[in-house]
Amino acid sequence: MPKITLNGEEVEFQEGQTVIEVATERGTVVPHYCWHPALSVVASCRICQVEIHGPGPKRLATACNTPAVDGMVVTTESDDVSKARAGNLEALLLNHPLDCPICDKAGECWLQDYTYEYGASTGRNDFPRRKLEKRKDIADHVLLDQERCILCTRCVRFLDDYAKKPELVVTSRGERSTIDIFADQKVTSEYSGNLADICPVGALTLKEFRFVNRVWYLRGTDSVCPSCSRGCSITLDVRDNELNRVRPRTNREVNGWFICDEGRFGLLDVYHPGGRLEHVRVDGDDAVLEVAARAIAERLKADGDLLVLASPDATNEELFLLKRVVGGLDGKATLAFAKVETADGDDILRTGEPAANVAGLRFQGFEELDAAALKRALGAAKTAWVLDRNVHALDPRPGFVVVQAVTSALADDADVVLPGGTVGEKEGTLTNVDERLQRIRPALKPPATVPGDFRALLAVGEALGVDGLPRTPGEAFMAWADTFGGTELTLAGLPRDGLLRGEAAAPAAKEKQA
Amino acid sequence: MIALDGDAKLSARIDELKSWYPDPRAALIPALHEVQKKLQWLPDDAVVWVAGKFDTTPADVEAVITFYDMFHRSPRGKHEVAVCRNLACKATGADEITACLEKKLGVRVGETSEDGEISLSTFECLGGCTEAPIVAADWYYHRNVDAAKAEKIVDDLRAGKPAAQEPRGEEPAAKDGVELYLTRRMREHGDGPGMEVSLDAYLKSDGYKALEKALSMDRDAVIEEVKESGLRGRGGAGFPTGVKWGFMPKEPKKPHYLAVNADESEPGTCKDRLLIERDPHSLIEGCAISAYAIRAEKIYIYIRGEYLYAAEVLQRAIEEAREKGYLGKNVMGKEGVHLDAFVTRGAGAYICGEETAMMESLEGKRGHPRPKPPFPAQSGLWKSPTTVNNVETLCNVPYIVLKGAKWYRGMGNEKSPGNLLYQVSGKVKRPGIYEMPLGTTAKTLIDECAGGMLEGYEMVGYNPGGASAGFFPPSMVDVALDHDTMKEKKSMLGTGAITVVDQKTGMLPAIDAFISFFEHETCGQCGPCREGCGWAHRLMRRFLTGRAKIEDLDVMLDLLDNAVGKTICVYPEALAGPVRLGIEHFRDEFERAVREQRSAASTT
Repeated sequence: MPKITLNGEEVEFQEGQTVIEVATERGTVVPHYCWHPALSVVASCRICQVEIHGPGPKRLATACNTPAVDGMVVTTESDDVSKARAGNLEALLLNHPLDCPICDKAGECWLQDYTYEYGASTGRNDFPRRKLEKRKDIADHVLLDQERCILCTRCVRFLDDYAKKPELVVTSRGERSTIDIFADQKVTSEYSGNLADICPVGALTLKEFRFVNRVWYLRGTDSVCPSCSRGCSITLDVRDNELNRVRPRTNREVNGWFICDEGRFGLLDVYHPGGRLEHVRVDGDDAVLEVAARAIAERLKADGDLLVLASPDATNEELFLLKRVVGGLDGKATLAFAKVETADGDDILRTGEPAANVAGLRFQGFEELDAAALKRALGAAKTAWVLDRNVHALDPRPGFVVVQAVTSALADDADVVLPGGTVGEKEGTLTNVDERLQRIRPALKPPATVPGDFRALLAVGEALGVDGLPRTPGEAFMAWADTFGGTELTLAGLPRDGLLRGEAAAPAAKEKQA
Repeated sequence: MIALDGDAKLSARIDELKSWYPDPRAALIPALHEVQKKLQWLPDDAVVWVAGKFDTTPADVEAVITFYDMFHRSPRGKHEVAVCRNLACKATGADEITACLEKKLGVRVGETSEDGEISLSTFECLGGCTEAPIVAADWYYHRNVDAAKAEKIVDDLRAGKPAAQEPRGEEPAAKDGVELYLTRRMREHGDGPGMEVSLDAYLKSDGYKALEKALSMDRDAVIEEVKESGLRGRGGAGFPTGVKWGFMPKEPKKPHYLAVNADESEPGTCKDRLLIERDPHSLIEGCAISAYAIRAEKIYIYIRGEYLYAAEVLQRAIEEAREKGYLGKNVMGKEGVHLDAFVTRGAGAYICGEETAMMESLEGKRGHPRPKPPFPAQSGLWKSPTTVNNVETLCNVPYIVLKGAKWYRGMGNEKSPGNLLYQVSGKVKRPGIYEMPLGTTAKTLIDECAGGMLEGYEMVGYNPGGASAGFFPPSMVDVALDHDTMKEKKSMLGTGAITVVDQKTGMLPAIDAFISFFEHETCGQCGPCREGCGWAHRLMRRFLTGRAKIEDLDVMLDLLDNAVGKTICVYPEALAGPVRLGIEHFRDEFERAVREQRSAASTT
């Protein structure tokens, strides 16, 4: 394989890779604004200049569009490089408003970062700074501050290359150039939230995050978006148990660098639902979990013919535990889920199937019931255990109804209510549309009175006297993995791109968020 | 938009334009010209309409429109009157003309007269420097305009007299003993209505003989002959033409293209316009030979939008050439050689003279230079191998093919052979375009060709090769204007444009005119150039208007260091011409300005 020498070390590369790609893959950060691995290369920000020592004369060159060639010697930091970057930053800051104290991007702004690293401590510009529009409403979720913009055109190329609709463009020329929409035609892309992520400065910010918090107070937790079966990798940014922001997490195998707006903005409500079930109830009265579990266990022992309507958002571990809990019952237990109504997706990320773990349900053998089949199953069942928040009516209603969900239209009519948890509160795995296993971690705590799904299931299992139940999602995962030959798998060791079938669990290349 | 929808002719015209290019998108700028011609400007609904025609978003079209100075997104009058504002015109009274027209029309620059008839604008160098000042009426040029003539131009437009190009003046007499070839035909055979060489006259004076000869040669033999001649590109960079042709693949895997750079916009430069307006067939013949040599079939001639008349002359000549078989299928009966040429008008953006920006513009986009590599010969127009040649370069080619490399090397000097069209402008007695051997000194051009300074004017400096070449002091008039000598002097031969700066114009305003030009024309892609040009211009303005500090010169030089060699194209190097050479040779002028500003401040 061909090699380059990068900062003194020999590094192999694939034919066709650019210097920045080789460096990034190896974890060497080369400052950049306009380059983005998912977008076309324009080489216009010029901050990624590195020193090429050969072949050819020693020179500065932009790493983003310089192809690596065998034997090339590259240093990413040097006096000349630093000087070039300092000069570049002076130009970029010339008309920048320096309103960092009130900028939502502060703390994760690359203009700040690179200036901190390379910039001069004083400015030489004594002319008034350019006045442009500071809060232009360019999309339902996004505001544009033209003064902060450094014209890297990532946003322009994102809408053109990725969303396939150039709705944001550079207008005018030279120093008068600005990013803009046409007339009052706002950006209509369903992926507009990404504009704020890929903007390396504070020019494009989210209305939903405007003045919400300083980013350095947020705690980010890796998670998976449950709004459709794509299962995009996301980060949940939380402060004081409030979800402040949802961001895409780079995962080339699933979502690349981006997520859709529905996932990004929808979760703010999904994870803090109104009218949430907060109390365990038996026959309409608040009760402790053990009492409720006993009530369910008594019912199940006394009278079988149970219909379980599992949630398409449940984790694999919850589903596994659920199966173990009801597995020892004498009567007939039907493990099923109500067919998820699908809508139109797109050919980018959205599958149109608005649930996180339908593939997981199928994999564990839960039976899919359409409306007619559901009616038949309800007619045959004496007890219904409804874990799906989207089941709004039971027709006919079995004699005994357990509701276990975050919210439910059935709660008032249920014999037992077990408050469930949101995906943001759970530990475990989800299986996406491509049968890819992905781990979620708890980012939020449920209200103190909410037992959450895993604990509630465990309590019912114990009340039923089932032996050897896994005590934690981690244990559940390993026990479940054993059932399909994944004996080496542990939840903690689950690689990002672990596939359920086929070539299971090849370790994924580490990617920094670009 | 109903007015446009109902116009079947317009739609048909746009469809025809689209058919010229492998990607119909390339017709966007020509289509915008057509729509603007009808409406005078491009209102929102017209943008939406055009976007529909090109299957894209209005925003995408807006991005293109606003890059180019000739397109308007606010209402304009029925007629557009543009006064050139760059150095040669400034030195010969353009500012007074502008002031006079403002008064007459009761408007400021950029506005439209109350009767809705006339919009007034000023434009960067219109390429009429030797006939300065230039005023364009609906983009037809009037030359040597003074206040009275300017008023008449407006009166004629208001009276409904159709705008028309004022015929060129006689070319000034050639210097004795110089063998002319580039301008010989137009001097001896310019029999057309605009004094251009008609096809008949062209043929009578050995026209298309060179193409005939080239077609009888092996393609690579043509390239070798041009290599042998030592011909260097006349667009500014001076790259050997034959070598450039030799970069093109010998066995085409994709269509090859010849892109002709007729975006002549370098302040001081007006030679390509002369060649096109007066001898269009020599360009077409040069194009055909070049295209044959590089295995291209399609020739795209990108001409700056302001050169409306030249574009029309060229278009007519192409149609004649097609009719007579000098273009088309089996050119001149040569089996398998198919050539065709198309004229694409730009829309007012100097950067489109940069070859990769020109290709972007030709493809119907903003004129942003592309990173190199890949070079045009690998991936140019529509990602196909492309050769970009300047007009004057191509006009040399037929003579080289016909008379041979050896003959060609008999003119000019060893490293810069051939004649060059030197353009001498400013307050000289006989401003004009002089065909002289390469390596002629500025002294010969200014004193002997142009007859020296006009009475009452004294040379305080001169621009030796277009704005990018910066300025030399009068003490440097003996410099031989060829590629290598100019490089030694930290300047460049550039386009062979010599603009003399007189004492009334003054060096600092002259330097400012060029820096202002570069500020106005930077494309804005790369931060150091986009911001640096603006900063340099603001710093420069202070030397003219007060509050300048001598340290500002260091900042100007430093910001250039931060940009030169560090951007996609060599635009900062162009800005460096007037800034670095201006400061190097005229530092005392800057210092005097600071002293005078200080003493003025202390006495008020």
